[in-house]
Parts: sequence; C-alpha cells; structure tokens
Amino acid sequence: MLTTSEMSALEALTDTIIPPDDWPGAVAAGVCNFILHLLANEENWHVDAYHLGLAALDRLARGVHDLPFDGLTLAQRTSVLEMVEQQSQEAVASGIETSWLGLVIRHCAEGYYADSGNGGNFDQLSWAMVGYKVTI
Amino acid sequence: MSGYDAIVIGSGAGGGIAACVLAESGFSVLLVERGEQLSYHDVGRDHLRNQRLSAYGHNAGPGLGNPRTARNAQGELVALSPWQGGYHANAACVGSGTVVYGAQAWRFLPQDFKMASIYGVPPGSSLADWPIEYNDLEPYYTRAEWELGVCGDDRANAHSAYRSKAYPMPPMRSTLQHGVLKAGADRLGWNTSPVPLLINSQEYGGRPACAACQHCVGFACPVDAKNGTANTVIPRAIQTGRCELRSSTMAKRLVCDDDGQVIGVELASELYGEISTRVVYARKVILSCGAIESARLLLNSTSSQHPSGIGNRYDMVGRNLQGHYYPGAMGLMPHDVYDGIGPGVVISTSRFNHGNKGIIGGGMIANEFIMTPITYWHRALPPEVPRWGQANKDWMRDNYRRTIHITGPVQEIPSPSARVTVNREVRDKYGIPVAHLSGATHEETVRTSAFMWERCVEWLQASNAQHIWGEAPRGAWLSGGQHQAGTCRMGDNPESSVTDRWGRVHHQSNLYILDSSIHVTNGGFNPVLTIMALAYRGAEKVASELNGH
Repeated sequence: MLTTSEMSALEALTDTIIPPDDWPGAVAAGVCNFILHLLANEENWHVDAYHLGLAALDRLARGVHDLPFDGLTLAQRTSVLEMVEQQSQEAVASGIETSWLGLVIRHCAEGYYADSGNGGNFDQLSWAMVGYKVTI
Repeated sequence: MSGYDAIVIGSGAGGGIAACVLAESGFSVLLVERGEQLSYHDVGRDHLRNQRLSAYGHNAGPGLGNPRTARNAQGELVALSPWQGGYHANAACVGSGTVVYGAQAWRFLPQDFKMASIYGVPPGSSLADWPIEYNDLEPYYTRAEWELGVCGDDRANAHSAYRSKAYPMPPMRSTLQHGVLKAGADRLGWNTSPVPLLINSQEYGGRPACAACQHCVGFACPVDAKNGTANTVIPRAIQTGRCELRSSTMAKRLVCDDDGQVIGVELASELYGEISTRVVYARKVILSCGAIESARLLLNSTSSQHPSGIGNRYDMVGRNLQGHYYPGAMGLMPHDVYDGIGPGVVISTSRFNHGNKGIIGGGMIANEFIMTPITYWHRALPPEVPRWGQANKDWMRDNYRRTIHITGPVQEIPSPSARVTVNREVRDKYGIPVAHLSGATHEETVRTSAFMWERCVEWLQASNAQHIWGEAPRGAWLSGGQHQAGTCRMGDNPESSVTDRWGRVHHQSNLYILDSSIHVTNGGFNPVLTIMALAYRGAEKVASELNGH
C-alpha cells in the first residue's frame, strides 16, 4: 500500500507523534501496523491523503533542513510538525494540511492505546504504561 | 385469522419485558429483533468499536445498511452510518442496549412526572406533565428491580422517593474514587448515595456476582453478572414454550384491516443478500424499537386510512425527541484515584435534580465508569495538553490514574421541532425509508446544563482536585443517543399526544408502544428502569385485554 520510502517516512512521523523514551515509541508499539490495517479497511478512503501528506512532509523537511523527513533528528522532526500545526509559510507552500496531521495523530493514539486486537499496542504495553490492567 | 396473541417488535429493555409478561400470562408471542443474538465473545473487547467509542463501528450493531439522514453544520443533507455522530444509535441485538449498557438503575423522581406543573412551560417548549404519577409506576419499578436484579442502598439517598421494597442486593464495593468524592461531598454538605446498578453485587438469579472488570459500559459482561433482558426475561419467555424469538428480522410496516386498526406486521429478513418479506398477524402489536425506530415504523405505515402514518393524525409522531445533555468536568487529583475496580461508577448525588433556584429541573451527577485509555485520550485530555509529542505521552503516563470525571444526565426541556421524520429518498438494506433527524433541544436545557456543569466543578474542587477542565455544553443541539425518548409521548389528549396513559396508540384498539418513545419527559437520570417499569405496567394491561377485560 505504501512504498518503502513512504513507510520509512511514516515510521519517522509516528515516532515523532509518540516518541520512544522509557517506554516504546509508536513504531515499536505497532502503530504503523495498526495504520496499515485501518487504511486497508474502514479508513481506505484516506489512503490518498497519506500518499499526499507523506510526500508533502518530505518536501517540507527538504526545504527547511535539506534532508528527507526520516533523515531528521527527533528535535528537528518535532519542529517540522510544529510548523505544520502553526501553518508556517513553508508548511503552507509544501501543500501539507493540518487536518491530515490531525488524522495521523488520531490514528497514532488509537494504534498506541486501543486494544491489541486492532493491530497495535503490542503486548498491551501502553496499558502497562498508563496502569490500565485487565484482570479478567 | 390465525396468528399470535401478540407480536412484540424490539427485544431491548421494553420489548423483552413485554414478551415475558405476555408469555408467562399464557399468550403466544412473536418477539422480533432486527439484530442478532450475541454472546460475550461475539461482542468482544474492541476499544474502537463500542457504544462508548464508536470510531469505526459498533460491537453490538447496528451495522452497515442502516443509514439515517440529517443536515450537517453546513446545512447539507447527509446519510449517516450508525457509528457516526448525529446518528443517535441504540444497540441492535437481542437484548439491545441492555447487553452493553452501564446498567444504572435509577427511578425517576415524583417531580419528574410533573415538570410543567412545577416549573411552567417555557415559551417554545413542549414541556408537559405525564398523565401518570410516580406512585402509578412505583410497584413496577420494584418489580423490575427484583425480577432483573438491582444492587443499591435504598436508605442512602436523601432525595429519593417512597419505595415499597428495598433493593434486592447491596451496593457494589467501594473504590478509591468513592472515598475521595465522599469526603468532598461531606465538605459541601451534599448527600451522596451509591449508584444503583442492574448488576449482581452478589449471586442473584442463578448468575454470579460482578467480577469488577475494566470493560463494563460499552461491552458485554465476562461473567454474566450484568442484568439485561437477554439473560433474564427473554430466556424466561422462551422457557414457557409460548414465545418465539425471531432475530435478524426487521419490521417493515404495520398492517391494518379495513377500519384502519392494526392487525399485523410485515416483516423483512435477509439471507445471502436476498430480502424476503411476509405478513404476520396478531391480536395485539407492541412496538419497543426505541424512540427513533418506533416513530419511524409508525410513519412508514401509511395507507389510505392513515395517509401520514399510524397514530399521526395530529402530526405528533416523532416530535419531542430528547435524550440527555451530559455536562461533565475532569479533575486532576493529588494522588492516584484508579484502582481498576469496575464498573467504576460508585458515587452520586441527586441533590440537584430539582429545587435549583432559577433553573428548570436539573440532574443526577456521578463519577464516571472506568475509561479505556483510548477513550480517555479522546474525551478526557485537558485542552492545553498537546495531542502529540512527549508532553502528550507524559500526560497519559502520569495522569490517567489521577483523573476523576464527574458527569450526569440533565433533564431536557423538550422542543417540538426536535423530531424524527422519514426520508423516502434514502432506503435501508431492506428498502425501507430511513429516519431523518432534525431540530434541537430547547435553550432551557442548555441553561440547566451550565448549572449542572458548575456543580461538577464544585464537587471536584471540594475533593481537592489540583486542576479542573472540561466545558459546559454551549448551544442547543439534537440530543438522543442511547437515552433517546419522547417521540410518541403519552397523554390524555389525543391531539397533543400519541398514546394513552397505558401506551396504547390513540384511536387504535390493538397497538401499544412500550419503550422510551412514550416518555413525556426523560428525567435527570438514566432512563432504563423507567422503560422497564412502563413495560411491566403496559404489558399487564395488554394481558388483561387479551383475557377479555
């Protein structure tokens, strides 16, 4: 569904939205797997938005840092996303839409915090992180 | 004409009870349900597809092929899927919402039946008294509490009304939040009480006690301790040998004789994509489809005798659609207040249901059920916390267990323009015109909600919340959802109501409505126990008529 370079950009993006620390970030928790499931099913009408959004994000990264988005540090990626949120001149010029970023943020949270049956939240690790324990 | 003594359409809180009462009274009953019979495993534990968070679907129906229409904020006509905002879904399965509900088992208060007399009728509203009083329903509230099983403390609530019998079970066990909020309420001088629940706090009815799991509201019970109609009255009805349950079957329209009296129902079902229909006859027909679908069925039952639908001579069917506004506030507490003991809703106050100076009505407020982490992320984050990045992850990790959510249903002031009509241009998978929803609640509902929101904040402050967020609802919108009610209100005057005081449709000898459609107003409480009590009372009346009385 996504090319290798798109997948790499998606991993960089989701790990910016939920970065790794003492607990796994989005990628290690299976968020990209969750998103691919969703894009193959109920959210299939958003596939084009992902293609366009990831390309625009890459243009923005190259314009600002002269590097692809997945070549940036976490701090640089964070500042790029802040530019998108604040609709900076460069972000608007890149064609990236804040509504798409909002969609990816929602998908990330759902992949990270929803039940593992949806393809993310491997080993229910986010539940262990927040302290939501399923007893039966 | 051969047929059943009664056809009951819809197997939720009202229909399940009606079927049981009639079957146990010796009558043959056909119980029709559009959804399927679902086990605990069928419902599952999908955190993105449940009645609490229906991001991509529902675990207990309805599914695709059942659209409704409404106008969006831009005024465009849109077709909505059941899990989208504005659809106002009720579960579609055997037992309906009682399979996945939170099971709060409140009685309305005596004042809730006399809203117009107590407060007057605000201009533009259709506020009215019920034709019956609390005392008319009291025996049936008691019957519902004992036959299905309710836990609670009948002596704790200083604001409750007379009851003829105590609850059959003691309240649920206490939790961390109970202690914190009780201390806060004590500081304010507020009376509190445990929340009555249709859940076994101890073994009851041959089923075990609650296992205190973290998936109560929105999901089916893993140990079958949640008392709905699917595990109580419906099996009893079937056990008589006189009740036939037909699931995955839709009522298409009501069928009348030459005098315009209802004598049967046209049913539709789907097998391998083929729709088949058949007409089934009965001496009595009972609609228990919920406030939106019961109105839709009446409006779709047009004929030469009923050009605008059955019971709709005065254009009353579908009006006064109401549910509950749910003002709520979240508070960050100094310590963890999460102990994982479900269902989680444990402490409430009914102090503000009435008697609020300058305010019409009010509502009960209580702490919230355990929220799944993703529901918390969607609904409970403070506005200033970023939705992404380290700060968001930190908040979830540090504060999920420290948050208390106070909320509750506000008694709505009904508006006649909030209504269900049918859209004949859009059909469901059976080819039946779908429900179209329009209008909004009365402005007084918004004002009462703002008042109740302040009480939620006050309770959190007194309980030592360090930070409080959440907003009072602003603006009037259509309210329905799982608490939908009011579209076929009962009354003594056929020109301003749809049914009589028993739920019998005016000018119809054989047609009853026993669900929340007949609520004149919807109380400041979860309405299910009232639906159940009305079903017991109405079904007894139907049984006595079938006996020739």
